[in-house]
Amino acid sequence: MDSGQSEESELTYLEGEIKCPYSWSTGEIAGAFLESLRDRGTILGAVCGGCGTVAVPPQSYCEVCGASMKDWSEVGPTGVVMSWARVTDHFQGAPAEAPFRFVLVRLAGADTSMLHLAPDDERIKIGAKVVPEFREERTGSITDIKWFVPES
Amino acid sequence: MARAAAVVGTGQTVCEHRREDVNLPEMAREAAIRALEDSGITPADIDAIVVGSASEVFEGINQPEQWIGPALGAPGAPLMRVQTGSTAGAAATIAAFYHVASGLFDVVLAVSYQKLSDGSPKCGLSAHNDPLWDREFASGDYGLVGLQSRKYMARHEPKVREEHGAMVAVKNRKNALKNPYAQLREEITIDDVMRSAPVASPIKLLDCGPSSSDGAAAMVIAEERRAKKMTSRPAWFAGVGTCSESPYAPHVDIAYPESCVRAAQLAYQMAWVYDPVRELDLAEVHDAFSFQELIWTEALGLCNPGEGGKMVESGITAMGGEFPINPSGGVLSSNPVGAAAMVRQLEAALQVMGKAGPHQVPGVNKTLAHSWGGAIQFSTVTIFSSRL
Repeated sequence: MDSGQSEESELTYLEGEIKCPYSWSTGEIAGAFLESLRDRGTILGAVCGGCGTVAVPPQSYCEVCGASMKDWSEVGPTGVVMSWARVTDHFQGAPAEAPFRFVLVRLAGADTSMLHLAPDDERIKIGAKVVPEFREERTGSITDIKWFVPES
Repeated sequence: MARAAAVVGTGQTVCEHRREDVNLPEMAREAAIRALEDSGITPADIDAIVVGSASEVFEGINQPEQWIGPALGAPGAPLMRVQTGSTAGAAATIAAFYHVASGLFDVVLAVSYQKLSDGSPKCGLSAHNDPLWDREFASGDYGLVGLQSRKYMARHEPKVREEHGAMVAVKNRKNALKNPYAQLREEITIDDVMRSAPVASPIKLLDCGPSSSDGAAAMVIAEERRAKKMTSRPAWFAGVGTCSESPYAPHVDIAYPESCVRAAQLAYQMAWVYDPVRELDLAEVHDAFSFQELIWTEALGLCNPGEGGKMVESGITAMGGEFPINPSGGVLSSNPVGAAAMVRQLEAALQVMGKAGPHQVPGVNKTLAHSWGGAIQFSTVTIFSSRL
């Protein structure tokens, strides 16, 4: 269709931005995990009442057998790197200043791996032992652990 | 007992970094009209529509399906949208198949689209992460697939090397040269890939599909009697399988995802496929990142674990090889997320129908389409056959 407009004045898109605040429900289980992280600097796993699986991060149900979690068990602080990916260039929304590494960490006593960060250190490789570095000011978020560093 | 159903017509749009000439519903309409024309029917012949697109956050519009019925010229048709991350387009096709197989609908249109240029794909991907555990790390797909690729390579070292990822990228980009709908149509070399900018090592820029793609796809699915009337060579649904798992379950193995293994088993059982690499002629797999083609090849049982590298290095999966993978150029060449999953099925169906054009593989009777989505947790497998 010819609108009669010149080519220069063509408007083919509108700029915009959506900003929406959220307050995500943690529920009691994840809430207790985050509270323990904030107040005591300890990492808790949820223990399944059916099969004994220890889940970190925790939820109220077991993802292996479907039963309800019944206990807490402190895990870590030592963990093992299950995989890593190195980021050398900054990207929008990056969680740390590049270079850094994404890591999958399995904490001692846990049956699950969790996604976290590590410094760009050559010792961060599959099978390496790492420990969490906690922030001084903790707010009750998974980022209260700044990242995982090689166990010295 | 399920009724037989087949793909009788397809339509897709040329995938581009940014389509400025159309908005989202207009782009979806383009693919749908082509599918109707290809099937020789009009919107009035459609009994229902199933729409599949990945997260709204990609386009910044919640409920994008609001326009779709009218945009497709079928405002009164029953319509639903399915959303399973990047597999949404494939899930829409499978839901359309269920519609027809159930006996409730005779002719169903499946449509998928994604207009990534409308939004910020990277921010959008981070918004998929669990807000309690992963969101703050903004790993998106790049970080997660970096971890996946590293784990896979480390497990099979030295049988799988970083160069094997590069070989996949080179192969699929070469295939895309013959696909008029592909977005990235430039030949690259292994050296180009290996020297491209690091993204989340081992993933480099040329190990990734396009950063933004606008594209849509549509397929008409019909029951046996109508299908036979509409075309002499429909692509029959021989088997489908979908499976999901959790990002945090103890047994999760991102380098050999159980959701992919199980989806394939379900589809093979339904299609009576016992030895997939011998019984099937080719596959279209969801290679959003180069290493993933190797990982899916193994998880789909097309080779033994650790042999993905050999498959690409020996040329088995190249055009003209014994088992071509991604003759269309795959997702590495065009990635309109939700639609990319449907395009895998569309291409697999076209190969069976003998209508793939310049990248048609000769003598094709049975093909497989695969897709993955979410935090490597959703998988779909669809098998098409030239015979009922």
